[in-house]
Amino acid sequence: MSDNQIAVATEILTVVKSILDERRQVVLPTWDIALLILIWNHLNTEKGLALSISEPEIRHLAFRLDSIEDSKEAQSAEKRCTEAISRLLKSECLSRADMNRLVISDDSEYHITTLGAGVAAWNFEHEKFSGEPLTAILKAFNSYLVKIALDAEQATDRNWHEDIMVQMRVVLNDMLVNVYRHQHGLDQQHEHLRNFIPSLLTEGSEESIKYCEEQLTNVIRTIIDLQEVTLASANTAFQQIRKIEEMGLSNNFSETEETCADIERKLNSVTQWTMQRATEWVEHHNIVHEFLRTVVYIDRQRRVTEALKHEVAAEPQWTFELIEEQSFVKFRESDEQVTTLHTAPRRRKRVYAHDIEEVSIDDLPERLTIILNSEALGDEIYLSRLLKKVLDEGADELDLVYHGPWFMGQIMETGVVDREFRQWTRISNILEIQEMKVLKNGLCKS
Amino acid sequence: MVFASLNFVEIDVILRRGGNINRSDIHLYQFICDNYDELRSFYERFGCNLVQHPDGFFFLLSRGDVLRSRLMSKPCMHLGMFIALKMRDPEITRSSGKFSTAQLLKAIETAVPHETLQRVYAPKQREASQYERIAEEILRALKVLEDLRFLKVKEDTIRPTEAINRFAEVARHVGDSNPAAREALLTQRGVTFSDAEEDSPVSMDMENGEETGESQD
Repeated sequence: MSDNQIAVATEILTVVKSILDERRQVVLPTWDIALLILIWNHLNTEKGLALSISEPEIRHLAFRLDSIEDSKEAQSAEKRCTEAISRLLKSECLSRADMNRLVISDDSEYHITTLGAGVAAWNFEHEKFSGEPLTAILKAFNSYLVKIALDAEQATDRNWHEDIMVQMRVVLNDMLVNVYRHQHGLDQQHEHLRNFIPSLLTEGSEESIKYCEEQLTNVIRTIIDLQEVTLASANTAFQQIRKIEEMGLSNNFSETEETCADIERKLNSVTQWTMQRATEWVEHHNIVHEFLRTVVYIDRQRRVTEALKHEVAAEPQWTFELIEEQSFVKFRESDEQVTTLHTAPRRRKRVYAHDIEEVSIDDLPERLTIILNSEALGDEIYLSRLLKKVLDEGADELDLVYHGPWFMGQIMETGVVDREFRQWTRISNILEIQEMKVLKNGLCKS
Repeated sequence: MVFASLNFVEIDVILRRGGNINRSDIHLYQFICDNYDELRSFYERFGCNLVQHPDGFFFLLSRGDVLRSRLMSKPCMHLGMFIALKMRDPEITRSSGKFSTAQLLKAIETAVPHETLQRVYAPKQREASQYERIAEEILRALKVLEDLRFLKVKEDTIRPTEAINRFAEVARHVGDSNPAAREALLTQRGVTFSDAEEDSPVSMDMENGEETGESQD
């Protein structure tokens, strides 16, 4: 170790010891950091780059901070500002620029220390939508890979594992994990921006629209830069990995193939992330610009929007007339015709069998006539006797009732009806008739 | 030759069915831009105007009787206007101009009075089955708007195209009492008003015939 190196190492140890002895700490609450950033921005944007800031100016910035935080208590704001200045002084982010050391008054002046400027700048950069950290990591990754590739050329079987494989697996993997973390951070920032933009568009002021456009431009610039860097880095990285893989495989060094394949797979996911985000962020960018063009710039008074709201609340009173025609014959060289087999239609099955009901010929009138003719040989004819006789021969009672009036007419033609003889006579279980007695004067007509 | 190109076949089918050619159909859009004069004179012979909207997309307007025309149904009109309104909400940028069918149904149910929904989408339906019918008609109208290329639907995600602005533009001017403005809507945007529908032969055809993609109640 040289004398210079020894001196540097001793100095560092001295600094470390003094920090530990003095119990130095930098504890800054949220509000203090926000105030520090405002002070830093104020000093950087003032004409001539002011070196110090006065007490009233700090209180004015604190008032702005309270309005963002929507704090309404004036008294506590004063007290909070005074306490914040004290803390910033104590943590050496601010230092006094005037002669007074003990009293904080309106004449006091402060300037921001390098520590304070560093804290403010880091927070400012951290919020900015930028791919620079990712770019830096990818460049460092490639540099390290090139170094490993050079070492691999001189490696032997004994140190291949330690010097090459372990470095690839541990160091490169750590770098890639860092890359994933930054990618995740960019995703979160873009998500935050995506959720924030509607509020800017709703507000619609010149400043908010301008800020919206700046943010979108920033996003597109970031993704374009990232795409270039990622693709270039990935190409170089793949070449180096293949070189290492070939060297390892040609010398039959163990673990080469799996380790190289693993690194390649992770690198592929990095490039795919970049390509996917390019599509999504550009799409979002286009949609917001389309909105700005069609709604914000053209319809400043929101007349179109109001007209649409009015139209949508009721039945449409107008419509579009559209062409409806079949297309032309297609100018194609070949037009394959697909033949379809026509199947026979299925019909419902019909039942053609009929139940035949045999109906016997109605011979009851004939039988009644025969019985009447046989009774007509006597002097008197009694209706009940004739009907009982035909019932005994098996005639149906209902058929008998059906033919009854006709039969009675036939009987009456054979003689004279005895009107005095009318008693009710039962001829069967269900039939009871009013007797009819005919004093005959000859054969009846059939 | 322009008319022997497959691109011509595709755009001709779309235009003759009342569809729009948007910038997102880049190869078709480019084809029309490159051969605009030739295509315009071609369609003029059919009594049609090949119109380029200020927002960039192309569509066909009938001027005569050579090509048949039809009127867009009320459900399609209302839904088109509602989607055009939704695209004017800054919140749409959050999802990069896309939304799902479920979100659309929920939004339309919340924003539009029920009476209007019933009159437009289910005029002949009894109260018990109205909601189901309204939802069915909305989905049916969505399909028609997709066929006419006012929007694209992919796996339940709806992305309106720039042609949806036709509804917004007409809504802005439809209340204008100036006869010149009304005439411009009739001749340059293909708009038909309700009072003109009863006399128009096209609307009479609509009463007797069946509209493509629609159902008859």
